[in-house]
Amino acid sequence: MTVDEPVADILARLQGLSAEEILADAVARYPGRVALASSLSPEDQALTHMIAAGGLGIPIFTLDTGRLHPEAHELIDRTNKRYGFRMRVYCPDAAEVEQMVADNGIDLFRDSEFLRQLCCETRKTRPLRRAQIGLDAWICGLRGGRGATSESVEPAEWDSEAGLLKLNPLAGWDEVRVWDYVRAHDVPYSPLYDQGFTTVDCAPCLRAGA
Amino acid sequence: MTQPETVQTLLAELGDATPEEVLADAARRFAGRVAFASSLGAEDQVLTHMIATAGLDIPIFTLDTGRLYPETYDLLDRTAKNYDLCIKTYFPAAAEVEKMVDKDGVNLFRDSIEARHRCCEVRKILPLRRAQLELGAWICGLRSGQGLTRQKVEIAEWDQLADMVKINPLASWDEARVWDFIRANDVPYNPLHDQGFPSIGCAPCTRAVADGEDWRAGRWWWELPEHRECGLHDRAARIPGSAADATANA
Repeated sequence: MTVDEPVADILARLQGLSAEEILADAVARYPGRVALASSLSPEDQALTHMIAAGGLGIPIFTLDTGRLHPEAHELIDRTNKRYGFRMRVYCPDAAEVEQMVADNGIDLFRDSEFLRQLCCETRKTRPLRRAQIGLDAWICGLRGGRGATSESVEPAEWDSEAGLLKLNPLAGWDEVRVWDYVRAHDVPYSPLYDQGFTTVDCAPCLRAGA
Repeated sequence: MTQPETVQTLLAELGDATPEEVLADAARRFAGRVAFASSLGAEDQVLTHMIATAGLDIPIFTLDTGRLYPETYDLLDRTAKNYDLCIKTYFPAAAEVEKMVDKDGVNLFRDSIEARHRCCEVRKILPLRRAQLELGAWICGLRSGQGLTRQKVEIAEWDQLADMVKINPLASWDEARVWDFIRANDVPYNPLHDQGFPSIGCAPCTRAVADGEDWRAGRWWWELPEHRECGLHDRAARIPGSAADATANA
């Protein structure tokens, strides 16, 4: 089964709803067929908090690329303990990682954009596709104003690569609002943000911003 | 030749050999069936340098547990480029990691020694066993004096768990000699060594040690000293006077 409601209709329906209401709508409409893909960012942590606090029962998964900052695993652990659940962790295929590294080296992502994308494909996208099997919709922490590649974000969009509805409950939020929420609810977040990082992902492909 | 005899022969023939001679001998004696398991520690970097500069036909592999320090991955990259080598990495099986983490959490190793061993098993030992398929001998950078579990290391040992010969070319070297070699030959090494980490493993299970602390005090520091091995080297039974030692000698 897939979502046959046109995205325009979904957007009209979600207009004016809070992030919590969008989450509640998702679990009501796609029960057992929706999940939050968490990168452990403050946005995703805010959504995790809303899901846990609202008792929505939306499964949460994350992608352990094998190159995460040690702090990321600590955050997974702290988050699980804080909310009394265990987020699913998806890992890359060993044979694919080994082949990629044997052919191109362990830090291939520095050598060309093609190799960087190959690394992301192997360590992130394929495990994500595996995590998405059986879903109608997936939830992300994307929001507007986050740089060139995600300038304008709608609360719902059709993800043609995944063949799924993508829901972005925080589409209308800005960074200040995310951090206000995180602080007000004492939501666990990566200590790297306090060290100048503005996004947290694979360790070698990140540096602290100015 | 039986297995213990192989070890006896090696010990008799290589008693006074230099590490370079031990490596060259291993490459000849176990041609096509020997590999060097590098953890990228200081000792292992010495061996990598020796293998690369002598052009020995000894493949080098490492175990990427998925939880290494960023500095360790960078060292892997620098080393491969410096010596123009392919260092084969072995990665844990996704299904096994996912099942383990699902059941016991991503930091299960802090909960009990059994859980910690399970993590080492999934992330290190099983990939190692895969790397060892078809080998007749493997080479390690173990040396005597690497802490309580490694007081006495021989140049050749029978590795019962792997069912093959284990060769430790640096068995008789001490730490000062390792670092003299690294500096004299400009061997790439992990910058964490300069920050108080003598022995470096997975990031969550390693910490710096203070002056005078045991060489492996920073590995699984919350456990008893005699337990501070991942199981890859089966050293606990070799601590003189330990319960395991008494059983082994009974």
